[in-house]
Amino acid sequence: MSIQVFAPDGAVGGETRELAAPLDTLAERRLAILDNGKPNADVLMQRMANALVERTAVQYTGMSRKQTAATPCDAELLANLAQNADLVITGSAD
Amino acid sequence: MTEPGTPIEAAKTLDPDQLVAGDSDELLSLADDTPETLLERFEERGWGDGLPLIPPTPERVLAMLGGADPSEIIATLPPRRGLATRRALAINAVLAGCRPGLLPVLTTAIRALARPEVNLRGVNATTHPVAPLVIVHGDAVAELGFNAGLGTFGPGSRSNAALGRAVRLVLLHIAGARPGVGDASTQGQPSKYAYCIAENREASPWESYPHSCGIDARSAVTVHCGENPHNFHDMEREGDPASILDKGASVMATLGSNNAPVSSAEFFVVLGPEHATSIAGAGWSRRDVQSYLYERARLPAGDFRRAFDVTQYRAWENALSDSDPKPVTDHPDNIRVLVAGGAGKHSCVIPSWGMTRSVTAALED
Repeated sequence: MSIQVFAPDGAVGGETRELAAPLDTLAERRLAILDNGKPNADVLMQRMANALVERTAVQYTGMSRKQTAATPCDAELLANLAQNADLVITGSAD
Repeated sequence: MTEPGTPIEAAKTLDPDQLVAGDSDELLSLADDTPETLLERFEERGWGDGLPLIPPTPERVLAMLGGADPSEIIATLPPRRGLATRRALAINAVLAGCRPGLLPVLTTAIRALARPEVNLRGVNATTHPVAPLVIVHGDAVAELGFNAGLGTFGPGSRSNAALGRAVRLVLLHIAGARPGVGDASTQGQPSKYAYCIAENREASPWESYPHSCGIDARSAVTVHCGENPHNFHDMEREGDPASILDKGASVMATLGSNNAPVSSAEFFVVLGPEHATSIAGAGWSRRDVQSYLYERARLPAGDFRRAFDVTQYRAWENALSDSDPKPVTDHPDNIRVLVAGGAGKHSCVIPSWGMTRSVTAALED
């Protein structure tokens, strides 16, 4: 006997957001790092930043650090980065 | 063949329009109603937990809803941002084998898990094996068939097993916390199948756990995201509180827990009734238990420093010298004590994942 059953996953919700427009150039732009606290994240991202400084004219402004990788970034820190950087390198890895 | 008066039979007399799927609910057609067909179809779609499922037919889902508004959104669950409507929760409750009366418990638990302090996104996505433990308190324990006594952690109780499993199915399906997709847990843990117990209020020598949290309700639900329980037993000192709790403190004081680098993290200490009776019989209160464990569950501060490059400690903890004993949690209030289980001199410790807080809420209607 055929039957019908509901799918268990339901719809996806929440507000949609648009990504910021990509930068047309890195020259004279301000580059910051947001270290998410994972082991060696600072090492990896610092090397990336160094490579970008070497290859482009981007200006490195420094590294900030989240309290922990597992919780959202502090709002004040995010606001500070948004105000003082044009590009932020961040990420997560174990 | 269902008996007259069962939820399925009762649902057949209701308005058929109530059986229509919601705007975003998908109805699948299966060739037959065998468990194997459902399991294979769900496996193809990446659904299920690997165990047999109860088909969530419109009749069963309607019965599970029990007249509640199916379209109400209880929570939006990360990382998928799935909408946990009452209907979606009812679907997963049916899949798990819940009786209809359990839906309010599931709804309360999911709403609690969605609270910001739980950090459900982190709980679901981490490489850690963390799983949400649901604890049912108060009148609902007996009224809804939960087991607070012998074997409360399992196996054997349909309500404990089905409700715990329903929570996991909600996280798998609606939240999208599937191994390798939204759940990066390196090894997982057995409690990711089902993790639900009930507080043994009758056997507790102290006020109920919700009352100790300031919740004044007939029934309540606690969610605590943590590891599998770690047993400790003491049969040597005729119920001496220090002897019992020193073993519990030994379990807590480990570098192998995610609580170790996060000193604000909680530990749930579930005392078996015999241990609780012995401790209270010696004149100890719940607060005494918390304070004693806080004092005894310590390791040299240098051990923590050598083990972890990244820590979240308070300033006073960072000021300790390497040889100073550092408590594994920075305040006695982070040690949450309740009574559950049956006869026998056993208790357990359930460390949290660290970057999460438990929530206790009154049971919804």
